[in-house]
Amino acid sequence: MSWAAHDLEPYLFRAKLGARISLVWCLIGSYSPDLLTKWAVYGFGFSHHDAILSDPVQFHRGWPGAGFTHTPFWGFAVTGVILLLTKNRTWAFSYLLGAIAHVLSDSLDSVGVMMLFPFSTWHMHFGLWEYVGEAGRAKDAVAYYTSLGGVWDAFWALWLLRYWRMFTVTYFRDELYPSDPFWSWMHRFTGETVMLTVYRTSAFFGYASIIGWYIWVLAINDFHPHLDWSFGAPHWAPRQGPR
Amino acid sequence: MNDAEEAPDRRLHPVVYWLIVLAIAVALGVSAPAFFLLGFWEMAPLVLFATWLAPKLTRGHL
Repeated sequence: MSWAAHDLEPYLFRAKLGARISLVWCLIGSYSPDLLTKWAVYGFGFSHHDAILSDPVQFHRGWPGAGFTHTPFWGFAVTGVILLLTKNRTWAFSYLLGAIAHVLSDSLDSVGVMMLFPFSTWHMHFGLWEYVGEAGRAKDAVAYYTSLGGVWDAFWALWLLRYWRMFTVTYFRDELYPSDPFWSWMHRFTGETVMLTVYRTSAFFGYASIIGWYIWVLAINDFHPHLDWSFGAPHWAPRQGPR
Repeated sequence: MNDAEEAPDRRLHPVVYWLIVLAIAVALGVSAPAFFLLGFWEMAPLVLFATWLAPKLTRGHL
């Protein structure tokens, strides 16, 4: 699975594609595959992992299970519903782009995603890093940020730095607000401070979490606090996914 | 020359201000990752407070 990449990718799409992207709908698309499933995968607790599911990997990415949420099929299906309800092509396309980006990002780990669902349950998986979600949030953080997963997050964070001006109030007022009716709709209920918060929080969280997790994993945590950027790391974790 | 012209503007540059806010968020996250490094909803209160406070503490806005 990917971590902060899901928070940062939509901002890059907005920076590259401009008014063709609704940032909020792209973020919803990017978050949607994990929205109702990730808490169950991790189970209760942080350091002491209390599992909820007997097979979290199958539940998260497989079928039978909720793995259909990590497929292009699901992305297109929800996009159709959004188009039907809102008649807004930009919102629908933005959702689709966010959802597909999530699916492709998650195909980089050892479990991967069912790209051809519902016609096949074959998993497309590149195995750049090991899927360790079944071990709980703390161990998954260690696994992800000591492996190439953390590099994947850092890649998006560094690329997005080039477009830092998109987080200014001026950009919000002159570019974002006029190009997406979502903001004028939101403005009926709240002021600019709250709108700016909604706009910026995912990116801010992305940067804070990458830096924070790296410090915690390498300097605070004492469970395998070593970087391993080899293909398929970390190798202390049991192998998950198709072989 | 009056006092108002001589008084230096001690307010922070907006970039410095947001880097300080980021450092606070990271410090909170490192000290309690189970509360501050989880996602959008855990970070939103800090970003809301920082966005509200920014015009009061910074020169111009970011």
